[in-house]
Amino acid sequence: MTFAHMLAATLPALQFPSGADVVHLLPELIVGGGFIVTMVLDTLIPPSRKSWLAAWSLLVLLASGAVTVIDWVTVGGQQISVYAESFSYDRFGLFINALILIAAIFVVALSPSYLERQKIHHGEFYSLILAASAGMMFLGSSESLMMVFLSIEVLSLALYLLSGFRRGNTKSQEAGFKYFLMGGFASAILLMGMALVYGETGHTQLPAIAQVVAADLQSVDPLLLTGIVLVFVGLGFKVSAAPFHMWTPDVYEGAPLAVTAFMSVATKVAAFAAILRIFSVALTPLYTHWEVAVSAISILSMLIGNLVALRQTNIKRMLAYSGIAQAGYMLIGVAVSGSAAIAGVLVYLAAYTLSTFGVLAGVMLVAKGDDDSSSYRSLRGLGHAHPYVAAMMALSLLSLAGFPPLLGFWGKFFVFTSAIQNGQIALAIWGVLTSAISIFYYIRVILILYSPQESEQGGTVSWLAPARVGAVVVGLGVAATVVLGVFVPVVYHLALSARDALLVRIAAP
Amino acid sequence: MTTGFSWLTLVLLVPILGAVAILCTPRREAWLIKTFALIAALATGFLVLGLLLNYSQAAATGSPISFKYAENVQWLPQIGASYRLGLDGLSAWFLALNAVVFLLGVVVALVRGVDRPKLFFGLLILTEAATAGVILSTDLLLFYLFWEGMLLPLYFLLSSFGNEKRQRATVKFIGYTVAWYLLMLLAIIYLHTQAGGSFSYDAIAARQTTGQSIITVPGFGWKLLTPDQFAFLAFALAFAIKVPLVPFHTWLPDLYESLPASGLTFFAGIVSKLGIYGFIRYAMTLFPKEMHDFQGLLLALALLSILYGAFMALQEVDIKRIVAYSSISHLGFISLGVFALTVIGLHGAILQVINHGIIIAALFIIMELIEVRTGTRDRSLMSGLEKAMPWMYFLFMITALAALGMPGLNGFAGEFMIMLGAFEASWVLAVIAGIGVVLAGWYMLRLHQGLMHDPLHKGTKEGMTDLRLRERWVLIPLCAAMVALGLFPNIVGQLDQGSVQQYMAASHTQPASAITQPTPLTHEVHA
Amino acid sequence: MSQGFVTTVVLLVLGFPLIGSLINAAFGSAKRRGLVNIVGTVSIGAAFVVSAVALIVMLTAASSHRAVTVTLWNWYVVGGSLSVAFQATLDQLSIIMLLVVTGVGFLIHVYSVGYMEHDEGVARFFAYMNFFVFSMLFLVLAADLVFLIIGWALVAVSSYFLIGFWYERPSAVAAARKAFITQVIGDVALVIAAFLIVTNVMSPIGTHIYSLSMPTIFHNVASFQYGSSTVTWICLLLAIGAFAKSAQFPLHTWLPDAMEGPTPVSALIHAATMVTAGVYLIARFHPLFDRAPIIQGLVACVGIGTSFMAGIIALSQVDIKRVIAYSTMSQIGLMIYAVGMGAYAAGMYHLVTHAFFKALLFLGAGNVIHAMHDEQDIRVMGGLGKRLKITEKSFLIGSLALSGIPLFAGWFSKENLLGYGVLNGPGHVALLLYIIGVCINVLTGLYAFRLWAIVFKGEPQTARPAAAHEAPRIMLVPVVILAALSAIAGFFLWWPVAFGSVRVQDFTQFLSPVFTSITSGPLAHEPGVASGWIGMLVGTAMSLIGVGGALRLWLRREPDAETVASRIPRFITQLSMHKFYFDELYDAAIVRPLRAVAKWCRKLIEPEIMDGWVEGVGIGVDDLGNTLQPFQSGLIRDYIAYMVFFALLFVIIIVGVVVR
Repeated sequence: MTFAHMLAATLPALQFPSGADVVHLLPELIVGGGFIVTMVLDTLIPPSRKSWLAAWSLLVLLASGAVTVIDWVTVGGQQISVYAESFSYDRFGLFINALILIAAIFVVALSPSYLERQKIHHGEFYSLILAASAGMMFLGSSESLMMVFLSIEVLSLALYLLSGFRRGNTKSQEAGFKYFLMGGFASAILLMGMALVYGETGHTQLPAIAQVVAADLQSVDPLLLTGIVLVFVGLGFKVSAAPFHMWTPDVYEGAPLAVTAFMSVATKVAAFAAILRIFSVALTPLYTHWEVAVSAISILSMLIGNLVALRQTNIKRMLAYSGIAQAGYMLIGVAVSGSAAIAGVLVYLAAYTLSTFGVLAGVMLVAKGDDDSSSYRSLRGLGHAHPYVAAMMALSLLSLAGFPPLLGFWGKFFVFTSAIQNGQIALAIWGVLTSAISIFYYIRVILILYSPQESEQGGTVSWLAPARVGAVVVGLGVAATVVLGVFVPVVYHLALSARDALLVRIAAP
Repeated sequence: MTTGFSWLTLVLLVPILGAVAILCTPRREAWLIKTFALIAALATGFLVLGLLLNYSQAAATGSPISFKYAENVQWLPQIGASYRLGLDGLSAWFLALNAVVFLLGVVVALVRGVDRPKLFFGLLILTEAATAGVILSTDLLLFYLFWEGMLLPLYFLLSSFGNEKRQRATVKFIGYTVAWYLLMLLAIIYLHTQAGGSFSYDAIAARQTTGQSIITVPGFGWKLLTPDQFAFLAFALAFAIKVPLVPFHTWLPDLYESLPASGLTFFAGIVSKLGIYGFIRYAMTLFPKEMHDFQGLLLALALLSILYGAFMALQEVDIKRIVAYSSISHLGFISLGVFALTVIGLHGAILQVINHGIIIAALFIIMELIEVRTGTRDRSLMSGLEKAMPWMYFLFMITALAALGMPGLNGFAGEFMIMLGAFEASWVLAVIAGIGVVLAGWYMLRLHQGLMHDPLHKGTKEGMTDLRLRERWVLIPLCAAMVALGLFPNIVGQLDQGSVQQYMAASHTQPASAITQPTPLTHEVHA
Repeated sequence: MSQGFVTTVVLLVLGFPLIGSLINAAFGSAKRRGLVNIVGTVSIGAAFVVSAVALIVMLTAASSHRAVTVTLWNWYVVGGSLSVAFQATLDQLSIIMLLVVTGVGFLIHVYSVGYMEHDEGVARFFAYMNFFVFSMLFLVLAADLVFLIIGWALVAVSSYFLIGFWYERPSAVAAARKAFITQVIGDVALVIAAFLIVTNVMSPIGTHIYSLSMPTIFHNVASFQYGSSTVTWICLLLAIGAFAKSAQFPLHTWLPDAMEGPTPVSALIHAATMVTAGVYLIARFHPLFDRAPIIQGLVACVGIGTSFMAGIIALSQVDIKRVIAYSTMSQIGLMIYAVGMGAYAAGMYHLVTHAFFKALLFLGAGNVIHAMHDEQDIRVMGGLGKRLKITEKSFLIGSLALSGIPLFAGWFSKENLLGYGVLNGPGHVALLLYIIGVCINVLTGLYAFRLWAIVFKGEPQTARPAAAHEAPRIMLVPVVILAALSAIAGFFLWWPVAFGSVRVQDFTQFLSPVFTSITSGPLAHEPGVASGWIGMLVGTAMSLIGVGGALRLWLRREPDAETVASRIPRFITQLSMHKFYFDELYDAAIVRPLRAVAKWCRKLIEPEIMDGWVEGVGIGVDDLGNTLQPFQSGLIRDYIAYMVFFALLFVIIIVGVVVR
């Protein structure tokens, strides 16, 4: 049962893509095409004009975003198979697309000034971001195990490179290398799992797998279960769920801030999309079998993420652990596997995207010199020097902590609600207790932001004036966490539509 | 479903708009910021006053508690959450107190001055909206949003203003508040499932309770509490921390010590009272059976708070902390009135909420004015201030007497009703509370006399002035209110006695008719 | 008397002192001394005039229409549960209290004009004094328990102000606090008594509206079974309230300390009015006390015991005001004894005469102190009679009245009061109490004339008395008026023994509707007039013995204190000198333990337990985080190992579950 064998099994169905296929994958293809064009443009643009590339990338992303919005309206509640059931064209995928695009737009808008400052302003940056985004968007739409794997490889390769982007910096190099090695290993596990699933069911397409699984619930083959667990481990690595999270803090810390921000947000969104499609939809019939594992991973993530985050003194590492914990909360939604839970996870992902980015963007906007400025100590007094930046960071941190009426609260709220409604009260209580722990490390950063600067440290830290474009973009994002928090029905409605679209195929037969 | 004009929404909207206006004003236009803050607080105050004056004419809807000016707008129909607001005889007084203490906070800030006025006034006015939301919402999810959302502006206020201890105090406050509030959220969600998917107060109050189902520990056969009891405890814990009842109180002295008076007026004045509000509105009526199950425990905590707070106030040397501990003791009294589960006790508790809101605000203002003049908060470094400041002496005297429950002043009216209500439940309660009254006399006089009497302390700063005119005019209305409410407490009692009856009826598992049957007394007066 | 008339009287009587107080508080100052003096005295004088008019109107009314209760406003009404209104009663009992308070009060106010002539805080002083009179009137007019309690506490707080008037003296400040806290204990007792009363007025609980109106309570007094535990508890609590206010054992320690206030304050508050409120309270609540024989006995015993103890202590004190203070405690003990025996009118009668002669003694002492330039120690006085002639004569009249020398006011009231005991009490106990009572007569004579002799007679102990000069006229006139009253009041008010059928409109008859109309229990009747010749003769004889002894000991022989003391057992002198060690006892038994508990709370409970559990959780969580951190080694081989391990673990668990 080799990779080639699986590929061969899939290939006969594949033909040259039809016009409809292209149209349905237009958002992904725009970004993918943009990636190639950017690579070419990079060679043409003089080094001093690299920010043109940022504008161009932004254009690409916005175009893709526009198409995503149009598609959202046109597709309605349908779920359309694309390219021989490799992808699914539906609102769920579009929702994920939108989140990834938002993250990408943020990072591209913030990058020029940041990269200039870090003296790593190379054109490849933008093309790699576009490549990773394309991979993530494909992942969000993948309806076949093969495409899941291929998309993950695409996005991972781009991120390996991006993590090591600060070439002169050993930490960055180490991060890139570590991520590459660990990621390769995880991919192997993932592929192994997929192979087992394919071997047991004879299919790589999720709807087909779902049918096979549902048809024969009485005798579940251990090998199939092994495959499922391994698939989950592979994806769990991508969402940095404990205990497969070890790489996260090291890589986040070493990678350039912009990459950390992008990676921490978008990767998680894409990988969760895959988890939801595979586990909450296709493998639902086997729910009772994998529930324990997912619950255990969720509980571990919440515990380890929150506890270790308490000890951090660097905002990047803190956010790495916080991200682990947040993955744990979202996994509650997977573990309870109700239809309400899926919508809850989607709201959670939206909140997580906006808020995590808000925090890191704040640092990116004003940080001077090396990335070491992400240590807590260097953030002291930011509230006085740059009240707006500090307020953005503070609001984002509070959103991550789950304070109403910010959007982050609603993520937790919907997830906990689904847990209680499905009788998983223990998970909910565990979630609540660990969230209580989390408040401390988030608030600690806020208190640092608003405390006076230390003078005995030998001179005060100085900050740069934030770049205007970036500030506006991030400001919009933070404003969205507040406004959408108050008008949460909007987000919830979108998430419900996405959820419904995801469940069409299951409900139909 | 809104009937008529959305007055209650306006009560929320005015401060929010005020906060937005302040946010949009440039930092250097300090006078404009102050004007906006004052206008917002005043406008809210007048609105609330208008609502109270028209209260008896407004139509009432809903059960078990009938609300006036009710509003109901669909909000998250998928999960049965709505934007529901309502006002009843209980919330009316909390709303009134809310309006008063925030106005007072603005006035004190204007009189005393604050650094960073934009941040301060913006957050203050925003907090007012949040606390008003807690008071007005009749949807549990909405209530929770305001309940925890209220902490946001508070955290910023706490971490940005006050003395050097504020960081530690803030962290402690967070540690106490957040964990248990989230548990309450879980309880709310649980109630929501029990009530057939609605967060509305009425629906949840009318839910079929499943008192039978016992949580068992699998494999051991342990039978623990019922889910409803768990939910009740989650609510009760959140409220007990807010009140705070001993032993959940240690956040309070640190916090009160670090906050400036302008913040304390409303923090001590209304925010901590919301715990009481929660006990009455939610714990009592949504969990009548559980309330009775745990009544003994709650009463014990209330009595413990009374005595413990008093003992701590007796030994403390920091004058603000003395007042803080006295506040714990007094809130123990208020809790006692609630937990006694009698009509009179509840009346007393509501009355005392208003009284204590006024008294504690005045006390903290006085403490700050004294601190400013003497440059210390150490009681042992002050004495004989009466000579230098007769006005301060006089107004502080009235306030101290009101605080220690001097008959004729408002503190007595509330304590009398509370103790009578408690006495109806058990004489032991009234006797122990009586010990608290005696201790209150002791520690309040220790504070007042210690500062005001005896020869002037040697280390006292030169050239202390008496209260300035504007400072006087902050305190005089408060003292006048203490006298007025002491002589005419019926002002508070008469607004809506029906609501209190409804709360009591809802808190009893038996039908309401069994509780109180008024029959005229035969010989009223012999002449 | 019509409702309208009574309302007017109540409002005027309360209004004059209150307004006077407010005017002096707001506008008075040492610079406007004239205004302050006029406002301060006229307000009380006006109240006295109104009271006198009310008395006349009352006397013209038929005996059955003399008690009128008016409702001024509702204090707190809970529909269906509770109704508290501000009600005032004008009846025979309250009018007597009104007249005493405003009459004696007026004289003392006039006296104060002279006494406080050089004090900077004169405006404050008169504001407090007027406020005190207002409070006292409030107390005696109240016809609702809540308002009684309010008046009760207002009296306490104004006395607190006045005791601590010289706030720069630490001893005055401490005395004020002690007095106030003792009063609060009494307040709490009263409050709880009120609860017991309202919840028991009609049974069962919950089927009636709680009313705290005293006429209603007394009307429904049948709810209380004679001798039942409920009524016993109620009366015990009421008695505790009365003891606190009237400085009776065991709540008596504040009174001597309260002499830290200016002397007119001592005269007004700690002799004539406030401290007698306990007597008034028990008399007012006689329908309940009549049903609680155990508490009646307790009250009588406490009264007589306190009286005896105070008499002994008074013998050894050297502060002129403290001697009179203990004398006050002793005399009030007698009144308490009387009302405990059910002789309410007799108690009230002694209250009135005592107000006269005790105010006189205090004011006389004030003249002495004034003349000695604030010296209060009698050991440095002596021979002052030559210098202060009018004061000395007046003081002598006061002492005669106090000692119960025949035909002076005190003789009528006191001997008669004692007489009731032996006639009406239950058997041997009553006889014992009576015997103690007449012994107190000896003590009274001893300490009264010890004081008079040491201060006014003999040779000056130091040079200072030689420089003394008589007080100004404004201070002498009230003293002389009071002296006159002390001398002749007995004839006006009551001829104690019925000579055949010739009786004037006497005190008992006037009061009898109050004490008999409401109840008709077995103990309800006033014992009547015939106290008996024997009792009176014995009492008078004992008084004379006491006076004679004092004169023999201190007037003629001028022995030093040690010689006298050496003839008395040492432990008695020690007890007397140290006031029976009550201050020390309370300090050791109550104050210190409470302080210790408070300290223990602060030093141990608060940081270690209350704060400890929070911090403990925080530290625990933190430690757990610390424990987990080392797993993050940074080494790829570790990370991969963990990953493989956990992946396998999950596979084994899940597959294992299925296979099994």
